Amino acid sequence: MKATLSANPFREGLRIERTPSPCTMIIFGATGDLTARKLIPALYNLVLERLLPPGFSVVGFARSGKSNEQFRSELRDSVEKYSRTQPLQKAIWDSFAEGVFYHQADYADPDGYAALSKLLHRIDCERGASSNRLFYMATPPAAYQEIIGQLGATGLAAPGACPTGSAGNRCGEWARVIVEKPFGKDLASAKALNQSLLSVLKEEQVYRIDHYLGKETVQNILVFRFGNGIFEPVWNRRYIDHVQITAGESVGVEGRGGYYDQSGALRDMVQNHILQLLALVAMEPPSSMDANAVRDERVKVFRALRPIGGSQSESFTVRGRYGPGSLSGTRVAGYSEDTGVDHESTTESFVALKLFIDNWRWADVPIYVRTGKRLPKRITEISIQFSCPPLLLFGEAGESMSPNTLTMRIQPDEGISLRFEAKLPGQTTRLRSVNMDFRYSTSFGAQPPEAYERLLLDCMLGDSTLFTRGDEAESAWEFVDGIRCGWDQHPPQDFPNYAAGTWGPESARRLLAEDAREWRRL
Amino acid sequence: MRASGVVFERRQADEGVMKPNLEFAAIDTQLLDGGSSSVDVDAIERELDRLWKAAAEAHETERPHDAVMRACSANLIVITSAPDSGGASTFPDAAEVAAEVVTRHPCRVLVVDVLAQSLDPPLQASISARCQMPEQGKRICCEQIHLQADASAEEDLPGVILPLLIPGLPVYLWWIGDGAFEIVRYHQLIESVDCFLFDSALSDDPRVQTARLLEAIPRRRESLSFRDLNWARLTPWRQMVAQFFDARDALAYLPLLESVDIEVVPSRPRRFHQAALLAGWIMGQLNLEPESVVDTKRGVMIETRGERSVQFEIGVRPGPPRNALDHWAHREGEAPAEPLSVGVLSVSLSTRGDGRGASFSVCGGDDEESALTREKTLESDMVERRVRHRHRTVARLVGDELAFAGRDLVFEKALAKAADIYAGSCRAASIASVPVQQLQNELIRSPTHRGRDGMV
Repeated sequence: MKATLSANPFREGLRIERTPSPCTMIIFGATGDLTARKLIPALYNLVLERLLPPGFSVVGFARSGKSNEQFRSELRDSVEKYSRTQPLQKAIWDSFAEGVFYHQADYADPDGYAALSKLLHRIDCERGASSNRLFYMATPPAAYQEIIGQLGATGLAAPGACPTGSAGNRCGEWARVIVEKPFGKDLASAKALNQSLLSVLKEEQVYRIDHYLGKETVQNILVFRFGNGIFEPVWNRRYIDHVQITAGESVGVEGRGGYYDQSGALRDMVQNHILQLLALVAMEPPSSMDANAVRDERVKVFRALRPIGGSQSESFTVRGRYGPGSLSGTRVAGYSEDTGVDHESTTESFVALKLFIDNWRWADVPIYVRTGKRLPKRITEISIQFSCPPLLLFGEAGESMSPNTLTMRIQPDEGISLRFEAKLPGQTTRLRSVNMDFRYSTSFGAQPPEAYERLLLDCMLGDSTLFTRGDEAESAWEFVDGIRCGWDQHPPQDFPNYAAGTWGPESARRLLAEDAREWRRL
Repeated sequence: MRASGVVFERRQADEGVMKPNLEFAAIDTQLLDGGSSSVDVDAIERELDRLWKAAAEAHETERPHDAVMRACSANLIVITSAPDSGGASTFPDAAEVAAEVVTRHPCRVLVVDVLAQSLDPPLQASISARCQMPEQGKRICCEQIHLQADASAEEDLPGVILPLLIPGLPVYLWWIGDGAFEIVRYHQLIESVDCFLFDSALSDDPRVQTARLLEAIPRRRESLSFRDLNWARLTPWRQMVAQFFDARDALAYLPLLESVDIEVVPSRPRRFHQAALLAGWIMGQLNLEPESVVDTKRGVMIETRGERSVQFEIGVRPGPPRNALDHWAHREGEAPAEPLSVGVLSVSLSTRGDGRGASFSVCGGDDEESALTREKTLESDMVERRVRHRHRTVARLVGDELAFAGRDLVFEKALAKAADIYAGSCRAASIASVPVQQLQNELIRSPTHRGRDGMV
């Protein structure tokens, strides 16, 4: 046997999802919606899958007063309501709930953090949680800096921290912080937040979450591109005519008008989700699947995005806001009728963009993106439209030919389909487009995990591949700020400019029509 | 050959076990039969087409807005061999386990039942469809072809099976029963197989089987992998042992390892083979070579070669069933508990035997899904953790194997070390052997197919 071992030899060939080392997750904003709807159901499902480590514990940190029992009971209700797996399995829940604790404190109160430290130490002793910490910022963004500062002051976020009075207990090997979006509201605020985080933490301790990256189908983009030999050779300007990315929501602002009105579709969807999808579609093959190798390639895409600013915003962007309309046979109100919406605001609920990536692979290939609320259906997809054959050989029959299209459906009905032309059976040559379909639901019987399940687990395992790095977030903001700046110079005059239940304003159609193209019918 | 209506039957999932709703669409008693060489493969395919059309029509009536989707990503051949069973067929169970497998891995399933008693005609076939029934959306269905043959028709089986495989998709062959290496009789079939699954727990003589497997491995096609479900049952144990050493300070103790103690219970001798595999795995991963194997009162003691010899003891102890979680509390002078569904009872890795060093122990629980881990190092007090595992049914074990492609080199290494243990010990060789019929009943014919293999 070697005198020292650099890696755990028992991990070799262990074909089981790896469980993280024992740890405690501290959720700031534990009484909020995110905790109830996403985090706790995700943790419960991880327990159900036996993917959490022994001794795993949760501490909910929030301002309102409640007992451990009350907190556990509320969380149980939320799991019963929001978990993807039903019904709740009582034995599993009970064993999980034994490790759930509530800690009442104000985010700015140093005593609250000192008491938290003691509670964590007690949990370490009683449950063998090993002093590893995962801090989750599920608070409004305004509280981030305060919390980070306090964690820094108390030493709670230091990796390898040994809590006071820890004799006889193993010191923690890691402390990580997950930061929820929005990560800033523009480049300046993102930089300030980065600075604040990095004054206390190292970059490798910070996990900026974008739940889109945790979706099974989004992760499959890289597998599809780099795990197959036949697609990558045609994945470039020589064969691709254009790319379309659509992220449509049928819901409106749904009572979140106060938040959304400060944000809008550009900040809420494009800066993070849409640009992350674009990066995965457009990036170069990474040298390895190491987190930084992948993120290096994603950030290169953002840096190669041709800036859209000033007067260009008129030609390359469309913004819209929905008015009253009808969806699924139901009359729905317009954006400005939602509570919390400032009637003077010019916030957009729809964005369409024509983008260019100025690099060797994508030069002059337009990438059209659109996202909006109150569109006819909830759908997210990426569509790669290939160039037509150079010569039309089939006479009149060939005139109706459609270009080959590869569509990656992110949600719902996740899958990939390739459209190509086929001969209609008969004596004459007539062409018809047909689809070759792959559907996740039919090819793999297992229900895919929720994005938060994957991301929480990755964070506990120290894998940051599916999280946004600081420079990535800043590059994306830099691009989006340019558009915002152009828009600010030309406030919209025609809001609302699309009816709820339609695919956005007429100008969105024109954006492609001017290039003799059209949006995919969805 | 008859075709009749499609019957959709909803079956209740086992309570407490996560399973999708299953629906069984069968053309009831649809049977294709013939003489030993006259089963019409084209007719089977034609009948399958008719089955799908009928299923779609039946479904259209019941749920007009949802389609029936036929799904297939692999071929799964299940051979049940029961030469000594006095004619009793294991088919109904094997078919249902296979049906559960396809909920996670849509496959064309061929269940091949080789019977001891004679059949008339000697080779028979029937088909059915197995559907998953989501609350809404498409109904996903897979097809199952059931072939039954008596001894006189056995040699014709490859000729029937091969044309029924869907081209271009991986082929898994799962042998249920003893004598897995009787599969060499079907060399024509083996040529098309990517993965051969068997269960050494069903072997009459794991020692011989191990030797035959090791003999076969170097000679096999590069693309053919061997998988042992008995090894797959050890995965949670391996996971728990590995987990200790994910921590850097614990990893530093591994080169100081002095003893490994594995406990099994004598009433389940097949478990010795599992213990031998577990010991073999630890040896293999730490590059340890057995130097001597000595039979002891408890079982066997293995000393490894080298400057720092590690002592392995595989101990077989009798004892009344008791809550396994009390195991440590009763350790001194008492026999450990014997949870009915647990195979290896406990494993401990220690750096010193005098209580001053580090120790890392796992003790199986009594409810098939739980275990206790204990860790004591110089840097920390005793840490005890309860670990919960997913219950792994036979179907789940098979399904997990279907998710991985290629050879399992770690298994092959562990197997080679287990063979060394057998080679050096008369006792190991004798206690590893057990009448197969009892085990078959336990593993395959369990009414719920839960397989009693949660932690095994």
